[in-house]
Amino acid sequence: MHARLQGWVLPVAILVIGAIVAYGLPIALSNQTYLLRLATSLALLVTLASAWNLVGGFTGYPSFATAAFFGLGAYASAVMQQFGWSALTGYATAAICAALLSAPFGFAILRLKGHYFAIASLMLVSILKEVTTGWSNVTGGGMGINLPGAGGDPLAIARISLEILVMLAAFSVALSLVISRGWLGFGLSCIRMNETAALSAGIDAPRLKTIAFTISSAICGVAGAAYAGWIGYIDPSDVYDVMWSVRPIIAALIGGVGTVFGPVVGSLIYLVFEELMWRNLLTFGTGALGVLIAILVLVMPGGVLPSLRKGKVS
Amino acid sequence: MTALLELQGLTRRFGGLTAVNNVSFSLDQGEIVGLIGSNGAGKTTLVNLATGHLQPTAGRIAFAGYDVTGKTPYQLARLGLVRTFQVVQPFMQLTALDNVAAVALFAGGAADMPAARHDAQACLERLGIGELANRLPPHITLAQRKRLELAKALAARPKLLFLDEVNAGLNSAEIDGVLTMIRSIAAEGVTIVVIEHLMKVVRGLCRRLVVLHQGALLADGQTEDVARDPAVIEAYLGTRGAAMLEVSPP
Amino acid sequence: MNSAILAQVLVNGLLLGGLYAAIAAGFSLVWGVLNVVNMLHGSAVVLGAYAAFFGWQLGINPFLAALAIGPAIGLLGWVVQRFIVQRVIAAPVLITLVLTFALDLVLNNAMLAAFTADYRKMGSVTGLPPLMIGTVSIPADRLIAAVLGIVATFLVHLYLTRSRLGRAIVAVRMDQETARLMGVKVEHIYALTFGIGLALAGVAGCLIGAVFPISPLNSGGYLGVAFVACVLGGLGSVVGAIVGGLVLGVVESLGSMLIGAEYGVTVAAVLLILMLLWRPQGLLGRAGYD
Repeated sequence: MHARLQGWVLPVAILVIGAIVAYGLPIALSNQTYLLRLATSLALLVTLASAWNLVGGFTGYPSFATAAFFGLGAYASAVMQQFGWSALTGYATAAICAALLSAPFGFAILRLKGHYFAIASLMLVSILKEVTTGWSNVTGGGMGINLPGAGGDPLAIARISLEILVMLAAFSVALSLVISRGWLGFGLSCIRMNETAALSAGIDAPRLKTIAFTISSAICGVAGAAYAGWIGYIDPSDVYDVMWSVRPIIAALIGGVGTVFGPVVGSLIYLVFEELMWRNLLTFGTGALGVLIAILVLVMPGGVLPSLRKGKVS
Repeated sequence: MTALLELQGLTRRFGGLTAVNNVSFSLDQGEIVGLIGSNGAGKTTLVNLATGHLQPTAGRIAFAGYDVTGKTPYQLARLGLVRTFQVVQPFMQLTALDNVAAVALFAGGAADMPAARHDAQACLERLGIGELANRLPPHITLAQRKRLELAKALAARPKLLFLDEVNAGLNSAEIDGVLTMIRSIAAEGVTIVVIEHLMKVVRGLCRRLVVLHQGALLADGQTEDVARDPAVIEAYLGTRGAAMLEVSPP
Repeated sequence: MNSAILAQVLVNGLLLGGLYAAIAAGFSLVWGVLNVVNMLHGSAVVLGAYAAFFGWQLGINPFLAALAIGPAIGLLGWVVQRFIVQRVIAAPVLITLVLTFALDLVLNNAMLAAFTADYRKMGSVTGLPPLMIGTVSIPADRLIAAVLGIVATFLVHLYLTRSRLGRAIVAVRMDQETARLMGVKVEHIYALTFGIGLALAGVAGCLIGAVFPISPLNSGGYLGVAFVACVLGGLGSVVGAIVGGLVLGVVESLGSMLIGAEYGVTVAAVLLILMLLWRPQGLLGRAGYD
């Protein structure tokens, strides 16, 4: 009983800290729009990196589908709001759409391994991008969608977006922690270490992998919805940009793939670098980012927080 | 009484190659059967078919009276159809205890992690490696890893256990140790199929032998009879091997 | 549906497919031998196209320029593999994917900065009138480009099967350990293969530049073509790349007519995913090792 209680302390603490930060940080940063934006970007990246980590880190399947569900969530929410529904309904729709698509899609492609899985997951981004662009009556096609409420007070929007994304990040991390400590995380790490042996050990690998993929995708979907609300305007080439798939991976790589807090640390480090690149090297920003990522990959593929506790259940 | 395992016309083709060809036999509860055959005879493929790692091209499998053709390894493991691997496959980043606990939790019906670990410790001790509980697989010897593999199999509460070349890479003394373990597991009522090369193992352990040759069933009967079967001698044992089977134990 | 229109669509598809074969072959070779999915490939194609474009502005025929541009880009590839990619050659899939993706960011950004995103077109290269077979019109430039694409690919195939180094490449693809034991310097083979792969991409770029408008914005699309054609035809097999390229060209051409050009990527991507689920080893499977 005591052990059971203990297991919940840290995840709840994360949520509580998240709530405090969500409430206090916007006030602390008051009208410093630049810092507000940075903090919100950080929270967003932490959310996505943590979610990615469930599939890419815990399970060992290199997914590039993050952008697909991020974009899907953004559009689901934006479209709902265009039809007059509340933002909250938008978020819920985002999560549901992401889950409904990711479950069967994930189940199908998780049968593939390595490069094949990665490519199949990447293809979904292209497919959704094109379909969204083509379905212009509903999605506005290439012109994108202006979210209702986008014209409001920028500072208020910035603050609320920060709150929402900080809570989402805290939730993503706390969930990651809970999973890593429970039977699902245990099963996923066995799958990562040796899928054949895991099958023989009675682990229903297809089911567990799909569960992880679906949870991950749903979180990405909600993040997309939050992003749409924050920026106020979305279009296919923005939200279905493959960088939304790659940045969470880099963040996790830097911090330690497969660890719970690696994505958090990695997101911070990555954003600092990315910001330095963009501020100083405008035209070459992307190229410089590429150089940075290449160096990071070559120098520390194990991450800042090496996977000490990979596969362990405490 | 229904046989515990029934293979009917089991066939598996890979493109042009027929690895397992129309193999049928059944096992009763409590038997210890040897499955022998030269390299490439199809033994491991047959085990893969019986344990769900491969789907048969044709044929049926029945376990405890139910048709389990096409079931997955994890479904079969939970039903009590368990196997070990020829090349042992521990989870490299888990302690020996957690390696076994994984099986106890997912196949053995343990209610939660603490219960699984409790069962796991018992299995480790049963195999005489209780003290290795907190060690990682890279830090234990091959013989110990073989026992770990057996401990994992036990944690699934098997009714039927396929042991695939469990003695590969072990020295004589280590093999004797494993044989003792196998006998005691069998004594608890577990039906065992021993896939083996070594005559010594098969002779001492199994009263019945099933011989595969080039994917097909060559012989199936009492060990002594099979050893004398001219077709078997010719195909697999060679006169010397057959002679070894008839020598009484030291 | 009018059979004349269908014939034209099919021919268009084959003409496209010849170019796709050249794109896919280099990519397939690198994937099959090094087990590296080279995200740089699309940008290398675009680079070749620009090189041909600038050559054309100087009066050099792109079909001839390919003979120089291909090796030049191949050399670039050799350097990139030898000094960068080789360092992570044994790393998990994720690492090599991210690394080549990052390198692609660099190359693509450099091209965008240097050439801008504006589309460039060469205009008619040979000035010849289209070949007419019945009602089917086959533009001369496109025909030559497609044929040269297949020829270039086939030349690589010959190299792999006839030359000593080529056979060493095939050996490494089949069984790296054994090849190493037999004295093959696997690291050199890797660099060579990567260079050949990128050289083919450069050649493909020259051919594409001769008949299509080019821009760095296309590199993702060419990478996608490489993926799909490879998976369709079967990995590591140059002949497979030809088959995959041709099939993809025809499918895309048909899809464009039936569903509309704006869903081109979706059609290809769905095709790829279905292929991966049904027959991941490709149409040719492991039959053709080279």
